[in-house]
Amino acid sequence: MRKVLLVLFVLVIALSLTVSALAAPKVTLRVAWWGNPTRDARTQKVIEMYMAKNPNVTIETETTGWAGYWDKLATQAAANNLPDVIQQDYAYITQYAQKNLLLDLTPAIKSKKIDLTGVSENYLSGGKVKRKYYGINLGTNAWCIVYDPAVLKKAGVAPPSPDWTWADFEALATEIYKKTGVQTMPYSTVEPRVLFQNMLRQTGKPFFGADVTKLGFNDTKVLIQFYESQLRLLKSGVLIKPETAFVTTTPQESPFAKGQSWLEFVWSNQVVAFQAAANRPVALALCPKIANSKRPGTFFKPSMFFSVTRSSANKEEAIKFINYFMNDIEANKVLLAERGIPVVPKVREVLQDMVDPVNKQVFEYISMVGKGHVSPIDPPDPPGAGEVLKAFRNIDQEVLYGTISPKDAAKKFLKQGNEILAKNKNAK
Amino acid sequence: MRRTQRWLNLGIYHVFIILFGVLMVYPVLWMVFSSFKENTEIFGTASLIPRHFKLDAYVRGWQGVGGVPFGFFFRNSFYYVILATIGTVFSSAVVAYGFARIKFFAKNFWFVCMLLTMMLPYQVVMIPQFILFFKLGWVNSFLPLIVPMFCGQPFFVFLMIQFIRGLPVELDESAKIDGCGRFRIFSKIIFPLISPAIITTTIFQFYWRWDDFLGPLLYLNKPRLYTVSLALRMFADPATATDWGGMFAMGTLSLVPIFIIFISFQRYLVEGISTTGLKG
Amino acid sequence: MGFLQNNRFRALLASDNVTGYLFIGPFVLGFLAFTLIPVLASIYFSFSRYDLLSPPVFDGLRNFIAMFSDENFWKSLTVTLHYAFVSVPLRLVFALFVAMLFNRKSKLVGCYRTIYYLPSIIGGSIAVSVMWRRLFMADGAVNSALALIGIKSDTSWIGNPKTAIWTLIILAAWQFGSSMLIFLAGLKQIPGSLYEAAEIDGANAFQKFFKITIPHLTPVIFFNLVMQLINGFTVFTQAFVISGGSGDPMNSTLVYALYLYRKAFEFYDMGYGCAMAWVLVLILAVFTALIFKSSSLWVYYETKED
Repeated sequence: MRKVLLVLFVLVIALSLTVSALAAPKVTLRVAWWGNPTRDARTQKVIEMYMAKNPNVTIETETTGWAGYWDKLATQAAANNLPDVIQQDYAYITQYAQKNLLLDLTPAIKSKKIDLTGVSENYLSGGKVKRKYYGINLGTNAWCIVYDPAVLKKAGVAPPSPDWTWADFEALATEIYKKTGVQTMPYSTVEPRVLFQNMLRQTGKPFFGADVTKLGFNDTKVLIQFYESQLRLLKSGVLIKPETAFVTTTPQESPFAKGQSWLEFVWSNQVVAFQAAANRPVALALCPKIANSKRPGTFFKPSMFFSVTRSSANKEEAIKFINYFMNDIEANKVLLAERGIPVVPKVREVLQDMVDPVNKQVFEYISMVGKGHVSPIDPPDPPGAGEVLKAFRNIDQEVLYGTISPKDAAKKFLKQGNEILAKNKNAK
Repeated sequence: MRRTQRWLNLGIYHVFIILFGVLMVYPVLWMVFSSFKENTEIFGTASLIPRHFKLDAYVRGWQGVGGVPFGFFFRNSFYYVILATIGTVFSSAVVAYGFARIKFFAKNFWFVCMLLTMMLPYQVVMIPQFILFFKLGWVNSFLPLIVPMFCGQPFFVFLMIQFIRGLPVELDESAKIDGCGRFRIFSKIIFPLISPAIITTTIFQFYWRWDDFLGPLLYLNKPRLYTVSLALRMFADPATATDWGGMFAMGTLSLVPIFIIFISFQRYLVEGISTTGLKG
Repeated sequence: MGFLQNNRFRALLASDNVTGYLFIGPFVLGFLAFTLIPVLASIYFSFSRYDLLSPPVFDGLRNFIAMFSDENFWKSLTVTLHYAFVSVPLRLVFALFVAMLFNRKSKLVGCYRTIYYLPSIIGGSIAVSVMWRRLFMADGAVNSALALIGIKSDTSWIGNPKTAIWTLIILAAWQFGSSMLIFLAGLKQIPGSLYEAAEIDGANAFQKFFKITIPHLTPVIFFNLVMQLINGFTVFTQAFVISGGSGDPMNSTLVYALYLYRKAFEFYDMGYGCAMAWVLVLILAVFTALIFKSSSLWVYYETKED
C-alpha cells in the first residue's frame, strides 16, 4: 500500500513539473507601496485586472501606511530582498538611485516600453538622477494655498490674483484679521522649507544645487525676509501663535478646519484631505511673488514614483506592469487620480470629467499653473537633505518662538546646512 | 457611630475611585464612541455621545486592506499571539527557575547578557536580525516572530526570578528530602506557587504581542498574513484623508480580545490560588 | 554495566552545573542563535559609516566623536534624563498606591481594576495621540478645568517648549497599568497569616504597611524600578505618537530613542544610531549596576542569592 502511494506521489510531482514547464514561464512580481485603504483597494483592483490579462504573471502586493514603509524598505535593501516594483518618494529616490538599487529606466522610456508620448518634461524630470530616469511619476503635485473663500467674502476683500505679491499677502491677512478675527497660519509649519524654497526660487537660486556638498544659495536676504514677514504678522496678532500652529496635527485638527485660519499651505494632493476636514467649499491660489521676482517659484513635483529595483529578476515584466499602470484607461478609471494628477495626457483628459468637484479644482489648478506659472524643478535632494530640512524647521521654530533674531537664524541655518552637506565630500 | 464612620469611609473610597476612573477611561470611551460617529462628527463636536449611532464605520473597516477582509487579520493575530504567549510563559518560567535557584558556572555572565539585551534599543539589531532570518528562509512566515518566544523573554524571566526568590527555600529542601528532583520541584511546587507572576505574564505578553507592529511589519509581506495591529496602521497616509471612523471602529474591535483576556485572568490575582498556608 | 552508566548519567544530570544549564538552556540557545550575531553586528556598525543601502565601511571612532559636538544629541540626552527621573518615580508611586486600593476581594474592585488598566492597553494607538492633543491644546480640556478652579490660562501645554515634556510625563503616569498589575501580583504573594498575626498584636494600618507590605514587596519594587528605568530611558512610542516623530516644539520632546531612530532610519546614518545605542546601554548599565549593588541594603529575599 505504502509503495503504491509513493509511486503515485512521485508521478504527481513529475507530472506537475512537466506541465508547468510547458506553459508560459510563470512570473511572480512583488509590488510595494505605502497607502491608505482607498489607495490599497483601488491598486489591488488594478493588479487583479492586470493578472486577468496576463495569466502568466502573479503579483504579490506589499503595502503599509507611510509609517514603517521606509524602515521596511531599508531593511529589505540591507538584506538584498527588495520587491521588484517599489513606490518611491522625491525625498528618497536619489539615495536609492545613487546606491545602485534602482534600475535606469531611460532605455525603457526611449524604446516606448513605458510609453510616455506627449508627456511634458516638466512632469518627468523629478524622477531624474544624474540625467537618468529612475522613477516614473505616478501623479503630479504643485505647492498651493488652500483658502476659505467665504472668509474673504465676509471681510470684503478680493480673492488673490496669480500675480499677487507678499506685500499683498500681508495686507490681505491683516485686513481679514481686522474684519473677521480670523488669523493666518505661519508659513507652512509642516514643511517650512517648501514655502521658503518658493520664494528663493523666484530669485533664480535653488535650495539644493547640483553640488551635493553645499546649499544652493548663500545669500541670506530672502531667508531673513521669510522670517521677518512672519514676525510682522505675529506682532500684530494676525499670525497664529507658534504654540498652537506647531502642534503636529491631522487635517481635522488644523486651525484651517476649525475656522481659525483662512488658509493652509499644502501640496495639491492634500487639498482633498483639507477640504474633507473643513467640510466647506475651498479655493486654491498660487504663492505670492517676492519683489523683483525673476521666475515663477512654483514647480511640478511628482507626488510619488514607481521604480524598478536592480535586484529584480523580472525587470521586463516589471516595466510592462508600470506601462499598464500609466497608460491603461480602464485601470486609471479605477485609480481615479488618487496618487495625484496623471501625467499622460490622454489619461488626464478622460479623468478630468470623471472626478469629484474638489479633485476637479485640483485638476484646474494644475493646468493653470502649467500655463506660465511654473519653472523647472530643482536638482533632487542630496544625501543628508533630511537632516538639513529638520534643521531648517527647527530654526524656523526658534525664530517664531522668539529665541533667536532673523539675522542670526539665517546665519545659523547656512552654517548648519552647509556643515551637514559637507559630509558628502568624503563619501564615495 | 463607628459604623457610620465606616460607611462614610467606604463611600469616599468608591466615589473617589469612580471619579478618578472616569478621568482614566475617558480617552478610551472617546475612541469607542467615535467609532459610531460619522467621519465629520468625530472632530466636529466635543460631545462624547454620537448624534446617531451608526455602524457604517464597522462595515467599511471590516472590508480590510488590499482586498483582504479584517477577519483574516484577526485569525492571524490569534494564531501568532496565542502561540507566542504559551511559548513565553513556559520557557520564561523554566529559565527563571534556573537563574533563581541553581548555582552553576558563569551564571552571572548569562544574567548580564539578558539584562543587556533589554537595554539595547530594538532598532539597532533589527536589520542584522532581519538578514539572519532572511538567510534562514523564514521571511513571510510567523517563524521569526514565534520561535524566539520559546527561548525565554528577558523581561518575564527577570519578573519570575523576583517571584521565585520571594518563596522560602525550605520548600525546595523539604521536597528534596522527599526524593524530588529539580524538575519535579519546579513543575510541582515552584510553577504553581508563582501563579501570580504567570498570570501577569500571560496578560502582558498577550497584549504586547497583539500590539506588536514592527515585527509583523518586517516579516509578514503578504496582506493575507497581516496581523490586526499591522493592518490598523494602514489607515493613515499623511497626505490623504484618513478614514477615522473605520480606523477607530477596527481599533475598538482590536481591543476586545485583550479586554477579555484581562477580565478573565485578573481575578485570579486575588482569588483562587492562595499561598497563605505556606508559612503557617 | 548498563546500570552503572545509568547511575553515572543520573549523577551527572543531578549536578548543579548540568541542571542549571538545562534550565537556562532555552535562553542560551535563543541568545546564541538570534541575538548574539545581531548584537555583535550593531557593535561593528557603531564603528562604521553605514547608510543601510550599501555595506558598512569601518570608520573608527568617528561616530562617537561626532556625538560630542552634536547639539541634538545633548538635547535628547537631557530631555530623556528629565523624563526618566520624573516619570519613573511618579508612575511607581501611583501604581503602588492604586494596587493597594485594589487589593481586596469584591466584584466592584475587579471592575475598577479593569477600568484603571484600560488606558494601558490602548497604549501607543493613534486615538491616544489625538486625545492627548485635545486635552492639552490652548482650547483643550485642561485649560477649561483650570478655569473652573479660577486659574485663567491660554497656554498650549503641548505647544509650549517648557511644558511639552510634562504632557509626556503625565502620559507615562496615566499608563501605569503594567506596574500596578505587577504590584498586585506581588501583594498576592504576601502570606495573609502575617497580617493576621500583626492584627492580633494590635498593629495599625501604617505599621502593617511599613513592617509587612513594603518589605515583602521589595523584590517586586526592585524589579519595577529596574524595568521602568530601562523603559524610561528607551521611551519611544509615546514620544513618537504625541509629536508625530518630530520632537516638537523646538525639540523639547526629542527623547533619546526618537533621535536615534531618526538618525538611523530617516537620515540613513545607522552607524551613528548604533553608536548612540551603545552609549545608552553604557549609561543604563551604570544605573542598573548601582541599583543592583544597593539592593542588598533594601531588598528583602526569602532566600539569599547564591
